[in-house]
This record gives sequence, C-alpha cells and structure tokens, in this order.
Amino acid sequence: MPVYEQGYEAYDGRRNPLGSRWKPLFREEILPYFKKRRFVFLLVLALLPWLYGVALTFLHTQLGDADWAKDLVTKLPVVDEKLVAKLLTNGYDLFLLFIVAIWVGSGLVARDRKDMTLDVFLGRAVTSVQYLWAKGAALGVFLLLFSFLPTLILVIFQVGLTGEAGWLAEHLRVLWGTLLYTAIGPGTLVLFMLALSSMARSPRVVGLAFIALVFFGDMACGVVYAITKVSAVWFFSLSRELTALACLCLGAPPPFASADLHPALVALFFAGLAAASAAVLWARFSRRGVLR
Amino acid sequence: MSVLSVHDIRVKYGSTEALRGVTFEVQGGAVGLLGPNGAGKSTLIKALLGLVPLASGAFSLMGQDSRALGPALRDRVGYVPEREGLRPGTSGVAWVALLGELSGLPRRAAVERAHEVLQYVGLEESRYRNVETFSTGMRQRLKLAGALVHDPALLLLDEPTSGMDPVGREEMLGLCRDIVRQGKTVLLSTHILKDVEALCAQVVILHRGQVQAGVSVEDWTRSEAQHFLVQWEGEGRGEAFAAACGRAGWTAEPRKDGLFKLVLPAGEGPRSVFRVAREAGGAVNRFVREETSLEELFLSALQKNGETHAGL
Repeated sequence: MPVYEQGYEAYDGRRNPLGSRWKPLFREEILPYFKKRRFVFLLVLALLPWLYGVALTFLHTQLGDADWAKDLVTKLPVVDEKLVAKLLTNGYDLFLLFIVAIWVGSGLVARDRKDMTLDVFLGRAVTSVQYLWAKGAALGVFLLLFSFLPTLILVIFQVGLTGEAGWLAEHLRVLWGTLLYTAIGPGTLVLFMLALSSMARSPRVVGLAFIALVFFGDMACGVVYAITKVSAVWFFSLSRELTALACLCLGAPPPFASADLHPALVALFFAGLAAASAAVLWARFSRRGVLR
Repeated sequence: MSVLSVHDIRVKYGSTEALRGVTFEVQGGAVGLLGPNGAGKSTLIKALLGLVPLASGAFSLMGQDSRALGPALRDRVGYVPEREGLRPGTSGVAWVALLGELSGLPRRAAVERAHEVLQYVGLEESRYRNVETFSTGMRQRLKLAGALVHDPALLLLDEPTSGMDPVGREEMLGLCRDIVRQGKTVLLSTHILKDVEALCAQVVILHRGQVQAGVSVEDWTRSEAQHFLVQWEGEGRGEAFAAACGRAGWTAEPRKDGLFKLVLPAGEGPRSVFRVAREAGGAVNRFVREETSLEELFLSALQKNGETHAGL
C-alpha cells in the first residue's frame, strides 16, 4: 500500500496562546543537560563552596551557645553579606560559572544555525524575541545555580535552623543584593553568550572565542598589570568586574585593592557589555536577518 | 477567495534587491515556483514565512492580511526547508512533536499528531530512531511530517525531492498529491521540472526577483510554440521542405534519422505542416506531435527575456 493511502486527519483541537510558544524551546534546551552525567557532576561541584556556608550556619546556630564549642565557633566567620559575596565570587565557582556558560551558551544559537533549524523554529509562530528568551532563560537557569539559588538555600537554612526571621530582617541585603548581582552579572553574561553564539555556526568556535575573550583576557590583564602596574587594565577583566559587582551589591569590600573598579566604572562595564550584546542580537535577528 | 495573494513585495539585502515587486495569486491546489539559481525563490518563501522583512508590499493568506495576522500566520503555514533543518540527537517523533508544540499544539496532542503524521508519511517504523541515522529520503519525509503536524492550510516546499532516489521521489510526489486532494495548497519550489509537471496545475516563474510568468501549465502549453517530428518525402534530401518552412517563419531542424524537428508558433497546427509540405513539392510520410515539456516552456520564457539559463 502506498504510504499516502494511509490517511491524513485534520487537527481541530485547541492551540496554546502565542505568548507561550517559547516554552517547548526552553524545555528542549534544558532537559538534555540533565541526562549528561558530567554536566550534573559539574553542577554538584559548583555547590561545594556553599556547603562551607551551610556548615558555618549549622555551627553558629546549633553549637554557638555550647560551652565546649563557643571559643571555636566565635573564631569562625559569620554568615552575612561579606561571606555571601566571597562565596559568590570565589575563583573556583567563577571558573565553573564560565565553564557552564561555555558548555550551555556556546551552542544556544550556533547549533541551530549549524543544523539549519533556526529558520524551522522561526518559521513557526515563534518570534525572534521569544526564541532568544527561551535560549537565554535556559542558560540563565543554570547560571542561577551559581548565584541566587545557593544564596536562597543558605538563607532558608539560616532561618530554619534559628527558627526565627530576625537574622533575615537584619541581613535582607543578602537576598536583594544577590538578586541584583544575578540580574546584572549573570544576566549580562547570558546576553553576551547569546550574542557570541549568534555570530558563528559552530559552537566550538563560540567556545573558543569566549575562552579567548575571558580567560586569556584575564591573563592579558594580569601580564599588562605586572609590567605597567597600571591598575586601570583590570577594567577589561570579566571575573574582576563580577567580583566587584557582587561586593558592591552586597556592600562588602572587594578582595583586591583597585581604585579603578569604581561603582560607576563597574556599571559602565556591564551596561556597555549588555548594550553591545543587544546590538549584535538586534543586527543578527532584526535588521539584516540571521538566516542569510 | 484566493489562498495566497502576493502583492508587489520587495525584499532587500543591503543594497541588493532580492525580490522586485513580486505579485501573484494562488487559488489553491499545487503551484510550482520555478526559476534559475538566485531568482529569489527561497527568499520569496522566507518572506512568506516572515523570516526576512519586506521592504514594501504585502501578502494575504486566506483573505487575511499578513500584517494583521502577525506570527499567527505561521500557524497556517507548513514549511519544508531545502537544507537539513533537523536536530541531531533527537528522535523522529520527538522532533515532529516539538514542531507541533511550537505551532501551538498542547504537548499530548502534539505527540499524538506526531505519531499520526509519521505514519502518514511512512516513517512509523523509524520514528524512535535518531534523525541523524535517517537516509536522505527519510529526512525529506520527516521534514514533510514536521510541516504537516499542525495541519496548515498552505505548505511551502523548498526542493522537497532533492537528493531522493526515483522510488522515494515518486512516493514524495504521491504524498504531495494526496495533500492537495485533502484541500491543502502546496507551493513547490524546485529545480526538478518533472516534479512540477507531475504535481502542479499552475506555475510561477521567478527571474531576477521578478515574476516572469504566472499561468496554468495547461494554458501555457496551449499558448506556446508547438513541436512536431515530420518525415517529408519528395525530391532531394529535404532542402526544399526546409526552405519552405523557413519562408513560413518556422524552425526546421533536420535530424540524423531523416526526420525534421519543426517548431511552430502558437496558432499554427498540423494543417499548416501538410500545406507547406505540398508547397515544397512533396508529402508528409510520418507526423508526430511532440509534447512541449515544461522545461522547454521554462527555457523559452527565460529566452524571451534574452537570458541564459546556466543556473538550471
């Protein structure tokens, strides 16, 4: 029997509203990563420094009043804005943050361009903005694991173990500061990765470009600083800017002395990066068309 | 009411104008979109999908203006891209279901429809295989399933039989015929003119971003030059007959088998051939009408414009 004699039926069921069409793309971008053991292991590794924060919370709340442990516990750092800023910007987690940004972010648009599925997706009732939102949200969710999510868990532990909300009222900045840091820092990183990913057809090229810009950029800043002793070069270091941003948002002093990382300059860096990324995305998706 | 009405659309890539005031109407059925490389066929399809912005002009689908419909227009259109357009690592059914969801079908309905259309296109046994393991023909049918899953009114097929073997090609054309029978409209962009001949009742010829011709294949065949194979018997080797044909304004090309290939302008017929044969002092011994192929018509349409057809 010829295949076309097997019948075709029309569809007359309901359709989801236009505004929700990004959701399947978001889901398809997220779920495959949870099937990758190495990636999940990486996410678990990223949470290790936060176990230190949880341990501190436990010691302060449960053993702080015990006579035998009092002396030891008082010597330990308390859980506050300063500690959260340190946890957010420790070199280990920043490194893993960049790895995840490369792993997930490099293929966001580039893979669709490589497989030529971009015009298949945009040929559906999905707008460019919805498409970019779905892709960006997928990366954003993973970057939350390095920013707001562990902070929230730490706060829940703290409040849960003390049994009162007094600590939270006193350290509310931990929450809103981290939220602000997440929105500006990792948020800009998402935009940057989207823009970078839209500029190539190969995720590998995007990953290498990110490494060149961020890792080697940091190294180059270090070398130039070592030679010239001009601290202004750190303006171009993404990891330094993220650290400065976290400290600014949480009201903690930065772990490095650099007068050039003034709040206005940090704001300028992230605003500039976000604007440049948005301009690239606008050019690729709107004015010239990424599909050519 | 026409299914698709395109009015004076222009598309620019920088300073290059890819579509220069394209206007045509599609009443329904299958319509062939022909043109040499770079004619603007793929750009036209992308413009109809909203993938490239229109510099000017508009089009309407089922009587509704594209600008008023916005992205919802694409719920009524199915698209089979010329090149790949599949995601490796995804099973056939998952891919088609995803496309269904993107067209607004709820998850469960999308999965059910994916199974149905995969069975319809003959991929029910391969539906759980990853798409990268599919053969060229299977990939084309999978793309067709993806274009059909949300039950669109208009299908835009960009080279759907490209790279397929004869059996697969015939199956694909059979599917397209059945889709047309279901009341759907198919706009078939292809280089393979035989596919258009086999499927389409109407053709739109694009050249350098403009519509060169847009007529029904039947009318066009009737209105265009006619081709005959004639064996003339008389004195000599047919020089007199060739000269008489020349005087009548026809082309008479002698062949190795002794036959003449005659090309007559529209309006002339077999009676004229017999008359000219008599005038040349002989008679027609054998007379065969050659069907004018779409390819010849297509080439003649381009030649009228003084163009070469190297792109074909």
